[in-house]
Amino acid sequence: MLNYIIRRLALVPFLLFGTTILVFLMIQFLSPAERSALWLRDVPRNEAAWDAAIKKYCLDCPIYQQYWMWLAGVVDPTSGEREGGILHLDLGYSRTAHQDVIEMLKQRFPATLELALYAVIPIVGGGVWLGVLSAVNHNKPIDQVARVFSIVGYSFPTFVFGLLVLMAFYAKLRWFPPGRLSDWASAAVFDPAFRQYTTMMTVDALLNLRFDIFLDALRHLVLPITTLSYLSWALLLRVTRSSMLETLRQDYVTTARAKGLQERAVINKHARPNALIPVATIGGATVVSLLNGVVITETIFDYPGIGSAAARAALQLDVITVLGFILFNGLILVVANLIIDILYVFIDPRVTLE
Amino acid sequence: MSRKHLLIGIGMLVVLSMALAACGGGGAVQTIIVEGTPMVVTPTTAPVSFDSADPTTFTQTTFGEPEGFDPAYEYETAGGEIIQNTYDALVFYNGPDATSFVPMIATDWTVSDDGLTYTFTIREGVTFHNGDTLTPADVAYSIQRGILQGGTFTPQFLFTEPFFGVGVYDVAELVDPTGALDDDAAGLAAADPAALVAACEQVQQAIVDNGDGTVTFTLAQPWGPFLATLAQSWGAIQDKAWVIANGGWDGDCATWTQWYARDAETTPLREIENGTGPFMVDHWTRGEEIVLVRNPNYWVTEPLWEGAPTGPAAFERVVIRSVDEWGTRFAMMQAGDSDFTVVPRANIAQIDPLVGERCDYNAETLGFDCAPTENPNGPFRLFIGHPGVTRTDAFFTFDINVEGGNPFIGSGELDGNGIPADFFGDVNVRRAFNYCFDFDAYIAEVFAGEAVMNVGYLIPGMLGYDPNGPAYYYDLEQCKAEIELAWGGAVAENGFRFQIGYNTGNTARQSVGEILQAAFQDPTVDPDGTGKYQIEVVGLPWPTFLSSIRDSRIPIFVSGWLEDIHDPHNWAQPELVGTYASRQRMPDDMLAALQEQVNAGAAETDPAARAAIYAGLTQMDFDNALAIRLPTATGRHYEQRWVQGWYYNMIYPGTYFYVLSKQ
Repeated sequence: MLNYIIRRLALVPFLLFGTTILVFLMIQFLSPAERSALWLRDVPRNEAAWDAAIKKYCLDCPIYQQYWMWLAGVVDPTSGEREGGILHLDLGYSRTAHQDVIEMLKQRFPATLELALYAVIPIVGGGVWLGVLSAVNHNKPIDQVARVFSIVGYSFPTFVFGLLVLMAFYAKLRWFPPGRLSDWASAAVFDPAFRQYTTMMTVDALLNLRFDIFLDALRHLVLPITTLSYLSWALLLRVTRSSMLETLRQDYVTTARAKGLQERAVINKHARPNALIPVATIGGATVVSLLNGVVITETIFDYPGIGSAAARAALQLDVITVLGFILFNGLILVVANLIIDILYVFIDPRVTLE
Repeated sequence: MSRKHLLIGIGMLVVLSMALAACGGGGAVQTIIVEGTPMVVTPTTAPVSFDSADPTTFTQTTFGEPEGFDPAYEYETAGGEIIQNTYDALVFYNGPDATSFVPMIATDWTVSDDGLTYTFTIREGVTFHNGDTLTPADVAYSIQRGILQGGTFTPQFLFTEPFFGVGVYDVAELVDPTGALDDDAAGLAAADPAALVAACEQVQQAIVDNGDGTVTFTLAQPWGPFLATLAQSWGAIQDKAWVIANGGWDGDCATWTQWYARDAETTPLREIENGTGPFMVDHWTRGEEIVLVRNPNYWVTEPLWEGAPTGPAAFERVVIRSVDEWGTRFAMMQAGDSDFTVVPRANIAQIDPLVGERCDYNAETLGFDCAPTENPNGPFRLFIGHPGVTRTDAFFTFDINVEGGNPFIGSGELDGNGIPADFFGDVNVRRAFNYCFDFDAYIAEVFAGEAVMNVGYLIPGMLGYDPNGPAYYYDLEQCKAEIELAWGGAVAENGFRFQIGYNTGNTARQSVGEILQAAFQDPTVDPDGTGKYQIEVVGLPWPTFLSSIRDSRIPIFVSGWLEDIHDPHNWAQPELVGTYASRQRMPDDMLAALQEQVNAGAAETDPAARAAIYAGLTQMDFDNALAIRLPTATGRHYEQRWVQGWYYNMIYPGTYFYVLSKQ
């Protein structure tokens, strides 16, 4: 297993940098003047401003030179300081986020991770539960209702559903606000007495023994998690249901019933574990997509994750930021898939890592 | 019907009802607001009490963020808002009046008879947020530092022109007057060291701490907008010792180029602040919020203008939350978690039913006349009708760039399938397009009726603006007549075809193109109905749009200007000779004639004489039909009804929180 892990991780740099080269190639379709728009607010006062931006950021330099500058950084001739340089673990400055790319990732990824960790349980748990329920009650009313319920969610545009729940549960009822924290909690978090260990609000609140902040942070997670869950259940339900139905038809399940086992034991101990193998793939993919950020959900609920930041950067052709996201999310993707592959070994003993 | 189909149908009904409930707005009748039409609203069950749950905290939800907090660098409204609330300037606006000024860090000032020398007496007893005492040396340093940090993408040109001459847009031009070193930090650092020192000394000699509690500014020519320039965020007074300690210019003429043309990520005061203002920056979480906290030692003990507050601010905290999505901001307003929000014009029909008090702008008093609406229990207050300070115009490109081919001009010939590069060089063409523009349709489509016609390049109410002055109005007969004169009749005979580009998503700019497109298809203009006048409206990605303007490729480009200072020079310069004129590629003689008058207007200090100069420029603008001057929108400001004290000063970059309170 160790060899397998090492081999997989060794491929990471090649994969990631290959992707960044692809992005650099694609941006060559834009002229230097078009790329300079990122540094220009509107129609600049004179031609010099355009030319200065192009010259300063070497936008008209050969592509290999621009790529090398991104890799190694650039030494400012006046201050003597080096700016950027991925080889120095400096991903550059994000014009759209108004901060260093690394700082932006450090700030936003914990929010995304927190949302993902709390969302994966209801998404996977709820989807699997509904799928098992549907399969066990195959073609009965419960099965039909569950399927309609999840298909409606799958068909519902995220944007519409999110705004609906926001209006209902926040604007009208004031139960679950958007954002990460209420103002009073935010003030407490930024007070010097509060130590931010992880910048995941629920975790830090517990570590600081501030259960009021913990509950406030949870309250702010309810609506985005509800939205993500409802819109994700359909796929998980379908896969779980199909897998469960197939498993329930297996001979060993028939044998278990014939032996006189209670139906609950047949389903929970014999059928469901085997039915979950394909579900693990979907669940893993769900986790990965959550970790990459969910743009629309973040936007509607004013949740400061990496998805909305990445979308903003892409729209404004903030190439440096986009490259930073590619590297970061690529790393997440590879590590997450590796973990899932390893988990498969434990879920299904027939599977070996090669 | 099978049970399966029945359940699916029930499910769809549930979804449909939820959607209708969300769109129904709580049963309120929605009405599109048209100017002069009373709002009709079905009473809702909004609460009667307008007390805030937390009067100590003010929350503003908006979109967009500052680039930073450096007064020398910031040239956008979000950053300007923070600076205005955390720093003070030598002078400030007299309440809602953007044209008169009161002492702030200065206690008084004198102006020499020739208008070249301003001497300010600096107030004593003012402290920065870190406890340092403000001195005249800080005042001189602050303005010097800004000028020397330079950069044409910063507001420093507003100082370099008055101090060093009209047309000097950057300190680098003191070293190389051709402008070749503008924004070129490396090139400037490599220039003759003696010239660099001389340039710095020239700046220091123009702004002098006299050592007796006063600071003197010596201008290159009289400058009408000088006080207006000092009052804005780029005139904010900084703590010299603190700036130096935090990586700013050390005041030495041998080193100033190290800080020249810094950009957003390298400017030393990007995310730190140490002003004297009523608020201090507590923290800035990018993409989320900026929190200001009250300065408990704010120095103001007497009202700066009649009715102004004194002492520390009413709010302990101000939270400026970045919320891009309108639906979310609206929800926050409804929930009472936002005291003020930005409402896009397209969404006013959603919020208007919840307005309980409407305040109409009174141009004479510069205030508002308020009255309850037909929904007196509505939780929001609306201020409406105040004049805007931004306008979009449609600029003609006199000499279109065709180098390397130009997709916007078709065949490039006046053969009915294109236009030549100098198509808009003919004044009859430009006049025709002006007469063919349906201004009322533009006002209705883009501003829901809330805009005023503009006479010339100035905005209503400005010095030199004459509402009865020469202007073009929608007249298709005149349009046809001008087209028939254009190019000796060749245009009317052959027709034309070209493209108008706009940046995708900007519906206002898109509307400009579509209005012109429709006008030239009107039977009045094209009675034969041959469709010979073809205008295609093309959406372009922002970077492509910007670079096409840069290269003067778009035959008619639509762009906007937001004034930096409320002074006619700040409209005349960019609109007639600067930012936009340079892209229009006007004939040199026309540009020279305009430049002469623009320079004269800036150098004139007598208001009546200035007004005459700018009126003359309006006539020149009209005679030459330089652009289509589009209507100026009037404003709307929505807030919770527990907010007190808001007034409208057209030149404020954002909200001045010091004057506000909550009940």
